[in-house]
Order: sequence, then structure tokens, then C-alpha cells
Amino acid sequence: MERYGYLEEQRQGYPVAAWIWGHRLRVGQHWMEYLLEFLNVLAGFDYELGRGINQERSSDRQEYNRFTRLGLRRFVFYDEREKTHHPFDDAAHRQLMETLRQMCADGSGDDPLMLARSLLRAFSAVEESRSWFAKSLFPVHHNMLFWEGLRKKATKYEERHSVDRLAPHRLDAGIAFDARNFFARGGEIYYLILSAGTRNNPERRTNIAKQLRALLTERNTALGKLAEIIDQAWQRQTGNNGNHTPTGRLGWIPDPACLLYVTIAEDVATFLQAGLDPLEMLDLLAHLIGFHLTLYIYHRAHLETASPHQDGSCLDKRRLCLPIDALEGADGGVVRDISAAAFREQEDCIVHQAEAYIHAKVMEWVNAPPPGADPYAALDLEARTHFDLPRLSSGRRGEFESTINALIKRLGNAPDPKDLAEGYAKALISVLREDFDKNFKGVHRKLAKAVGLAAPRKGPGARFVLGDNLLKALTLAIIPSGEGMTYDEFLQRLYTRYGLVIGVHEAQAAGLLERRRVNSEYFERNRAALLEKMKLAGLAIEYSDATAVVRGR
Amino acid sequence: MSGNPFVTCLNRYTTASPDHEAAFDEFIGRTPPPGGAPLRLETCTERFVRACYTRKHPPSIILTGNAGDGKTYLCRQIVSTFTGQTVTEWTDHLDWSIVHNGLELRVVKDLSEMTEEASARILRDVAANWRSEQSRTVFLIAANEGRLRAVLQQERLVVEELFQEIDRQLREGPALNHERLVVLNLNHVTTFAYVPATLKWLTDPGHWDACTGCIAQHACPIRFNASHLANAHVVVRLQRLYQILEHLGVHVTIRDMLIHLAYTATGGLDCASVIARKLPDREPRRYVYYENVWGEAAKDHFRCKAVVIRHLRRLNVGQKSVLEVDDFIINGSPIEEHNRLFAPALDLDGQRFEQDRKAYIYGGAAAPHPEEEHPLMRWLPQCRRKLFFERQNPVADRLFPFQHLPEYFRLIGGDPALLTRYRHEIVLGLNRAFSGLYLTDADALYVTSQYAHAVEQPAPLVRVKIPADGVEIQVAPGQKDVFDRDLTTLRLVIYPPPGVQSEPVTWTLDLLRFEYLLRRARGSTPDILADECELSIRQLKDALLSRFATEQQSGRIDFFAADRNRYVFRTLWVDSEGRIHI
Repeated sequence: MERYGYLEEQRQGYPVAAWIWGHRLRVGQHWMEYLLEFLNVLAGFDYELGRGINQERSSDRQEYNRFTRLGLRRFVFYDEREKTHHPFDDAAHRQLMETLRQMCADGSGDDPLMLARSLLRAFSAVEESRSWFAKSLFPVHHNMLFWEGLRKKATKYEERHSVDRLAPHRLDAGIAFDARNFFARGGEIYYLILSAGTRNNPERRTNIAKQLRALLTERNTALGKLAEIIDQAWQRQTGNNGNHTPTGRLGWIPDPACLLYVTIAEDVATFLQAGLDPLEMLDLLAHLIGFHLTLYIYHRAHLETASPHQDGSCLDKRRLCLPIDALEGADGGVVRDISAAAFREQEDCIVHQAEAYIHAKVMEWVNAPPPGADPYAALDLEARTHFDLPRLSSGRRGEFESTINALIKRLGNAPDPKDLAEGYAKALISVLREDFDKNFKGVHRKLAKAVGLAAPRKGPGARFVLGDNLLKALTLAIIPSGEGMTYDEFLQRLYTRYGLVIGVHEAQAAGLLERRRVNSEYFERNRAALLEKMKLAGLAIEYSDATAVVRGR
Repeated sequence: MSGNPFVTCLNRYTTASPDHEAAFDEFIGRTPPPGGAPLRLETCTERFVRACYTRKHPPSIILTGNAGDGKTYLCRQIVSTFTGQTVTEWTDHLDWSIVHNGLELRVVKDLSEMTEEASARILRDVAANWRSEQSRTVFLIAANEGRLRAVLQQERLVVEELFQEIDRQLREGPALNHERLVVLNLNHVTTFAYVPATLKWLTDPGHWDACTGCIAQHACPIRFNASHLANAHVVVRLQRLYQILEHLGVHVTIRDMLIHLAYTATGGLDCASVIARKLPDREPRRYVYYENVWGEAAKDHFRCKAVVIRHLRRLNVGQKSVLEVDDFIINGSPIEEHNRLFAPALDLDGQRFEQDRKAYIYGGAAAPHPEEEHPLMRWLPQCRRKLFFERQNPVADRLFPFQHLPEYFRLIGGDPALLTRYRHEIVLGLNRAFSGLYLTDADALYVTSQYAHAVEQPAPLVRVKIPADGVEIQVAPGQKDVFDRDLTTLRLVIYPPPGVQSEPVTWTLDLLRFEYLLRRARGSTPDILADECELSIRQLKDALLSRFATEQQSGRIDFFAADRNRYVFRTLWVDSEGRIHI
């Protein structure tokens, strides 16, 4: 399997989720943080896609810069109500405020600073209450992009020296930028997807990068200048003997020739042409990213194993079937039930795909053993390296050992390959399952609910819907600005590109009518309901009884 | 004892009957109904169109509009004017030509019925005809706008000029004096002008002669309706209802109006069931005209299909209690008026209403059966609706769910001082709607943008600031030359702020939007009317942003900050030396 990204030589083993869906997607990442991480990586690579890949052009810089902007962050987020106080930060904050006060016009006192603070705080991006170094700002401008930080041992500080005698750059010393609690590589995956999708289309690649650069550097310049001034005030204090700029390396994704990546790149390129207000553009882009990543998960979890992702047939053969409920129960819940069943199906597919992968891999190892070696030992070695078993807790490893010993005892010295494969795979699955369920299984659910692809946001019984923002984002991604298409054509595109089933034709093509044995009238009403929604949202105009035209603007 | 054939004829108009399509063909063909003359609606459009074809070089005419707007009817009129004879056969031809007086008239009865191929070919012919100077062919095409646009878009490369001209006329209104092509969009016709004529035809005594001698005529809701619908005041009120619908932006086609008025008269009943006393809802009072207007006795299916009923039901007249109206109904003062209006009649079930009312007043508000409500309460919605039509008192307008209806109609009158005074409130309403905050500043129109998922106190950035003088409420007169469009509407014209070169933005201010903005300006919560209005307001905001917003290079950030108990407009300056100040 070809991997695309930064491949570390030292590391051979990854969890099962990574082998199927790339390194990595993790459930702890908030949906907005995918956008934040992606923009940080892109900006860190100086607004160029396709960098950081260590298989090609190895002379190229392979690490992206991580912006620290500690001055800005302390100014905006560090206050009396902060939950992780540290004397270093207190001192740094004091010094920063003194410097800033000197920079304001005389006589205006604290007012401009308080005003600036409340203005910037209004762009606080993620809802949860976190420590100041983990909070993020909505990236209205390039100067508001920064990487997640972590002050190590923040609560275990022992006062050794008086804080005031420390030089400013020492106050920053304990903050590390490689924590990966929140920027868990999801944005890197998206960066890699876009890079892979534009491998054969350099024009589109530069286009996307150029427009994102324009969006982040040429709009809202006054806000950007404000953020820069505040941050520079601290940077000047720390001077050049401060910490060097931290850098990062990308993860990797499998099968870079997959056509889904090309579709995603197309969508982003069309979307960026829309020319809306920048705040809205970024918001909709966050929705679009969440949508694309969810589709990516489903696409690779599809049961159709015969068509590998390299030959370009994967998009057709592995077309998803995601029925969208636009009626919201108005029809007695028929479409809602179908949609909820499809959601559960997708989740089952994900689990099934993981198990199938383990089975396939074990079978491969069992059938190709090195000659003259103990089959158990060989298998064990492969499994440990491939799935990085030493990373698991010792309790789990112990369980695994005992299961394997039982298996050995049962099968004897010359085991039948099939039995061996099956037994070993079962043991592997049970040991890897916990990590998979905890860290990966919930990603699609969390993302889909956050961007409006699934409802309800909280509670059981999730089903597929299309929220207003997601609908607008998809319309802008499918229809180039200034053009229009008929509603039927639009629904058809939604199906061929993403597998979203709304109307009767698509339900027929997906075989849904036969499988679920429902009257096509329900999907007819579903189609009409979505049209009403789009009309209300200003995305579609219905001219007469038959023709409705969808346009982005 | 066969009943009145006119009632059968009327019932064919309501979609409740399978003969429904035939009725409209008869209407178009002007077949007289039993007992009288056919309904003839003199429309302005028809006059204009006839005049066109008496010219020496008639223009090609394209008619667009919804189903039921009268395109086919107009085509027939044009053809008969052109040939000088009435048209006899009509149904089989999709595209036919008539030669008369050296001119060839190509008639396309319905572009939407043809295949895409054929319709594309027709449009190419029109374009070719357009370009040639000496043509003796004139086109007459009836189409739905959506289909027309779709085909034009497809054929755009070949018919570019035609596309531009059609698009222009559809957007800006027909070019009446154009020599080659006139595009008439019948969506602009307002039907409330035809309500009196239709009602006059409906209640024409000649049609109801057949009722004399019927044993059920004193207990017949249909007869009752027919006699009441002839009352001049009722006609005015019914027309008012249609006018309100137009102001809400609902386009009622002529067909919809005919269906609705026919249903108002008959309630979907026919003579046989009245005579046999087999009404679906048992009580005749449920089929009175003022109940039928809102489709009270109709099935859900019909309520959804009849466009007028569907929209009128959203107005929910009669469900809401208005003190003066209810007081009049229950307490009955002034007495003379009450006795006149509430005299025992078919719609009040004879003496029943009076008995229930007396029981309520003298017997107490407790219901005889504790789990039900008092019988008088069940009469109230019906009585409110009755008063809406029959009482000549402006308080009846309060039954509409619009708090600002009278103000709206006063503004339409066009008094400039009034328009300027309301501008302040409209600007305040827009400020609150754009930012989602309870702003108090109405000296300027602020177009804001903010982070949608803000966690902390939002601080919306002001992108465009337009001084209040740059916002005008104007009265947009209807186009009376070619359409019976007696509808004056309001529109908002927003001029670009100083320093920006751009066209002003125009936005229709119909009744719904006016109501929403005024409610917001006076402190009401945004969820009222939010579905309908919020998104059109968001579109206005997007239009203003795309036309008027400029990148402010001067290092200036405008925004609204919370200051104790209100939001204040603040500015932060960041100058080139890196200093921050207010």
C-alpha cells in the first residue's frame, strides 16, 4: 500500500485505524480545529500545497513552521479567571501589559487595550473551557494563526528563583508545541488530501494556495496589524535569544491516487471562487472540511474490496449511499428511519473494515512465513512491529500474551494456517479494539454532527441531514460562481459526487427503494422538502411549477 | 328536483371534482354556463395585446407566467384578433402558423409541452427572425419562465442577443414600444382587480333562478352564500384579502382565484347532498361563505392544493382574540348593530348562537360538561370571521396577525414626511437584524459581520456604515399600462456610502418584511416571522457587502462593543508606527 506524506524511518508500527485511514484522525479534535490546523500547516509551509512529502523532492524543506505568538495569546486569554495559573505567565503578562500601555496614545489609559482585548476575544474559536495555551482564535488573519501549546508541569511548579529576575525568554521556556492533544493531525490529513488530489493538476494546486493566502493576508488587514503589534510587543522583549521557532512534520495518508482526493480538491477550488465575506467563507470552509473528512472515512470503509484505490474506479464502485432526511418527520418518519439505519450501517462498516484489515494482514503473514522458523514467533514479530503493540499498556499486553499462549496450546506445533490465522486475528482484534473504539470510532459521528451532516447533535438515533450551512457550502462547492443548474441536475451531482440520496431517481439508482421496500412517494416528498429549504435559504429559485434553478449567488 | 345546474358548473372549478380541467377549457372557450352568460374578465393585458396586433408591423410576443395566469386565453384572443374570426379547434397543435394579410403568425401554445429539441429549434428561429430586417413572420409563444430560461441558457451561444433582450425585459419590465419583441410576464398581474367582476358573475340572479321551487332553498348554504356574496361590503373585504396576499408577495393566478371563489360559494357541496341533508360535516353553518374562504370545512388535501387557501390559512384569522371584537360578539353593544348582524340565520344555526350566548352571560362561564369548553367558545372563531366580512368597522382589520398593517397602508399612500419618519425605525430594525444584537443606534445603517460560533461576547465588525440619509423608503408604483397591476409597493433604496462608487441597492419592502423590521425595531424577539424574513435579510446583507464593502487600508477597525448595558460603536486605530489608539 502506497503511503503519501512524511514517513518516519524509525517508526514502523501504527494503530489499525492509521493503516486504513492515515496517520491520523482522532476523536479528541474539535471540528473547528481541523480548519485551524490545516491553515496553520499551510501557512507554515508558506502557502504552498504539496510540501513536506519525504518521498519526492527531498531537497525541499520538509517541516512546517509552527507559529507560537505567545504574546498575543497571553494578552487575549490569560486573565484572572484562567484555570491554569503559573507565576511565569503572570510575570510575562505583567511585562507585556506594561509594554503595550506605553504604545498606546497618551492619556487614553487602559481603554484601547481593553477594547482590543474584548474585540479579539470575540473571535475565540472553541467553546470548551481550556487553559489559555490550548485556546484558539478564529483565523481572521494570518497573524491570528498559532499552534496549540502546552506548559509542561504547569501545576507542579516549585518556586526556585524569584520570577522577576528571570529574563523574558526564560518565562516562555516551559511551553512546548508538540502536544497534539487538540491539533491531532486531522488538519495535516486534509493538507495531504489536497496535495494528493492536485498532484496531476499543478494549476489547481497553485490556485487553491493562492486564494487561501489572499483570504488570510489581504482581508481584515487592520485586525491583522493589531494582532501583530500585540505579539511583536512581546517578541521584542524576548529578543533573539529566545526559543527557536518550533517546526512540525506531517503524517501520512494511504493510496494517494484515490479519485476522492481529486473530487475534494475540485470542491475546494470551486468553493474558494465564491467571494463571500471572509468570515463566512472560513466558517463554511470549516463545514466543508468536516464533510470531506467524513466522506473520506466512509469511502475507505466501504465494503467493496475488489476495486483498489489506485486505478480510478474507486469512486464509482465504492459509491456511498447516504439517504438524507429533509422531511424531519413530516412523513411519519419513514425517511428518517431509513436514514438512521444507513448511519448505523456506516458505523458498522467502519468497524468491519478494521477487522477485515486485521484478518487480511494476518492471513498474509501466515501464508508467507520465513522458512524454517517457528510460525508463531514469525507471526508475533510481524504483528508487534506492524501494529506497534509495545505502545499498549502492560495489562493489555499481558492479556494478549495469555491469549496467544492458549492458542499455541490448542493448535500445537504444526498448526493449520487457516486456524492459526483465524485464532491469531481474533486475539489481535480483541487487544486492538479498545484503542480503536476509544480514539477513532467516534470521529465520523462527532464530525458529521458538528458540520450538520447528521442530526441530532446530542442524543441517540443519529441520521443524515443537510444543515443550512453545509447546504450552502456544498452549493458553492458544486456550482461555480455565476452559473446555475437545474435542481434535478444538482441532486444528481450530489449523488454521483458524494453518494447523498435525496430524490426518487437517486434512491432508485442506489437500489434503496428495493432494499427498503418503500414507496417512492416518500423520496418525492423528501425532494420537495429540500427544495423548499433551499428556496428559503436563497439558494434556489422556483420559476414555475416544474423548473427550479440552483445557484450559488 | 334536480338541483341547480349552475352549482354543478361551479363545482367543476374546484379541484375537488374530476371534471376540473374541462371547466378551465370551457372558461377559455367562453362556453356559457347553464342559465347565463360566460365570465368575461376584461384585462388590461388583453387590451394591450389586441392593440399590438392591429399595428402594421406587430411585434413578436412572448408570454410567461405560472399555470393558470391566462397565457392560453390570451393566445386565443390574439389569434382571433389576428384572423378576425373566433378560433374553433385548438387542442392538437403545439406549433402552428396562420397566414393572414401577408403576415405569418407562428403560434406556440406551450413551450413547456414540447421536447427540448423542438423548443430549442423554435428559439433559434426566433433569433434568426430577430436578426433579419425584412421578416414577415411574427411569433407568439407562451412559456413558463423557468423552462424558457433553461432552454435559452442551453442555446446561449447561438441566441445571445435574444437571451439578453428577454432577460432584460423579464427583469425590468416589458418594453412596450419595442418593435420586434415584447415579453410579458403575467406574474405581475394582480388578480384582486378581478375579484369584483368574478363575484358579480357568480351571484348573477340569472344563475340562481333555478333554485326557486327547491324544497331545501331555505336551509341551503350555497343559496345563502350566493345571496351574501352579492353584498357590496363583502366584495370589498374579499378584495382586501386578495390585496393582502399580493402584498405578502404571493402571486395568485386567475385560475387559483376562480377555484377559490367557486369554493367559497359552494363549499364543495352539491345540490343533491344538500337536499338529502347528507353534508359531510353535518352542520350547514360550517359551509357558510366566510368559513369557506379559509377552507375550514375542507379536507387537508384540498387545503394544500388550493393555493389561496393555503396562504390564507397562514394568516390564521379568527383564532386570535381581539378584545374589541370579542367584546362586541359576547356583550353585544351597541345593541342595534348586534341585533342586525346576529339575527337568527342559517349561519348561526337559527337561534342556537343567541341561546348559547345568553347561557354564557347569564349562566356563567362554566361549561355544562366540565371536560369541554363552553359552547360559546366554539362559536367565537366563526363569529370573528363573520364580523371580518360583515361589520363595517376598521377594528376588523385587527384580526390579521400583523401589528403594523395600518401603518403599512398609510405609508403606501406616499406621504413624504411619513416615509422619512419611518426610515428611522426601518434602519434600527435592519441594524438589529444584521447584527443579531439589540443595538440602539439608528443614525446609520451598519452592515456587520461576525464569527458565527462565538463563544464569548460577540463583537461584530462593521464593514459598511451608511448614514441614515443614504437610506430611502420609496413608493414603487405599479405598472398600469399593460398589467392590471394596481399594486403600489414600498421599496428600500440604499445608496453607497461616501467614497464608494457603486449602484444603489434596491430591496422590496413587502408587508412581511415591513412587519418583521418594525417588530424588531420596537423590541420584539427575532423568532417571529424569522423563517420567512431572516434569509431574505441575509441576502440583502450579502448584496450590501459585496457592493459596498471596501478593504480599509487605513488601519481602522470599527466594531460594536458591549458597554455596561448597551452596545456602542467603537473604533480602534492602528497606525503605521505600531501604536494603538481609539
